[in-house]
Amino acid sequence: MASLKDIRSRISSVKNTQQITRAMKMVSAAKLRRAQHNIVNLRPYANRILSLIGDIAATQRVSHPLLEPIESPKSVLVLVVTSDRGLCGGFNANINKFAYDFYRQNQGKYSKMDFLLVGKKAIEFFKKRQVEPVDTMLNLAKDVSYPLAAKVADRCMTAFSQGDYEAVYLIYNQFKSAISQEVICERLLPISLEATNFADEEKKSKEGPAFSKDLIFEPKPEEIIEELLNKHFAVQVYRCMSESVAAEHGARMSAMENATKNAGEMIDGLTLTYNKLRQASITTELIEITSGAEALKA
Amino acid sequence: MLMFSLVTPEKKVITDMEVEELLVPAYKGQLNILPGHAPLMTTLSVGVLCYREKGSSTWESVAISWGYCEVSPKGVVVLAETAETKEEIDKDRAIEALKKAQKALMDPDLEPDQIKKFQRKIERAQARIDLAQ
Repeated sequence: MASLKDIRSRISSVKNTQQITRAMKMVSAAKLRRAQHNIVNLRPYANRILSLIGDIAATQRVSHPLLEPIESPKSVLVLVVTSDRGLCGGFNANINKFAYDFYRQNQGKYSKMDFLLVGKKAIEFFKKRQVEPVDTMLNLAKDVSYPLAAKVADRCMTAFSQGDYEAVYLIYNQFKSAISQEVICERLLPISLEATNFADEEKKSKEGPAFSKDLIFEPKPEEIIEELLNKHFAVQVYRCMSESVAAEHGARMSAMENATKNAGEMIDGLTLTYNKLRQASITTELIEITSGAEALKA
Repeated sequence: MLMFSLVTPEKKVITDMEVEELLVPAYKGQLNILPGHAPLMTTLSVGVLCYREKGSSTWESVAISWGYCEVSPKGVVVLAETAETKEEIDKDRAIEALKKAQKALMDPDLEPDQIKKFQRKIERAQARIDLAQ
């Protein structure tokens, strides 16, 4: 049986933990709002770029190696985006599990499969399983900035255009809402035509196909599309990273909320036992005193 | 009427604003866009973009760096990598950056890549200073 003092110190330690989890929840909530804001701001830019590509592809019939889908790619590069810090529920575990399953299932299919890991958690996870990444990247949550994403994108793009890889996939947590996120595997390169077609159709339906037949290009359309595709890819990487960061904060927020609630329940339980124990000890003391007095009287 | 939107990856700077006239730093130099301009797509360089809102006679300006400009009957869409208004620019910092880049460019054994990088830096700083003045 724990003594009163033991329980008292338990309660205070749980209270401290609760304070921390509550503070973390607040911080995550604030960060989540910012990250969400980021995504919302990014969307128009990403959509515009896609529709520009669609415009050019529709009118100029330009073909580009980045747009050619490859039936069965032999060598792939996989980007895995996790967070640097834990305490965010299943966020990292889910993504690592998904990435590892992907790795095991497709090991035979591709002759070459390389990983580019973003975030400490993925690096640790894959290190334990003896999977060597080609490159790693840290400190995503601190500043998920466009230049950082552009750097990653540039790396992938160079490797891709040199023919090192025939496809680039990205595994990340998509931000659904503040409390739910989904692990998604997206093919980033070659750039999927379906998405382009979709944007194209949308555009057409909005303003009719009449315009843009005699669009003036400055410089040549081939040069523009080259740049646009590069930019589109960088923006995609940036978007996925922003989503991942937002999802991380969302996951942490709900995990911390649960932890705070659990700590509260624990404190309630402990307080109850503490009070019971206190009462029991008072009763025993009283009984001892009265029985002592009775004994003296007799 | 000319509808004008300016977006960057980080924020939507201007959305569907009616403008009288636009001056953009295009691929081959300044480009003036008036209502009824032929459909056009061009890349942009670093510089100052000016626009005049409908019914106003003063020019507003934004420093932008690289991007695209699409002119369609619907309006003008500018996609820029960065866009800063006069209030957002720290002039002293821009001047400092300009000096630093110019000094770095003096180094005779620079790689071609680095030269390009510093030249871009100079362009950017210059655009900022131009706007701030």
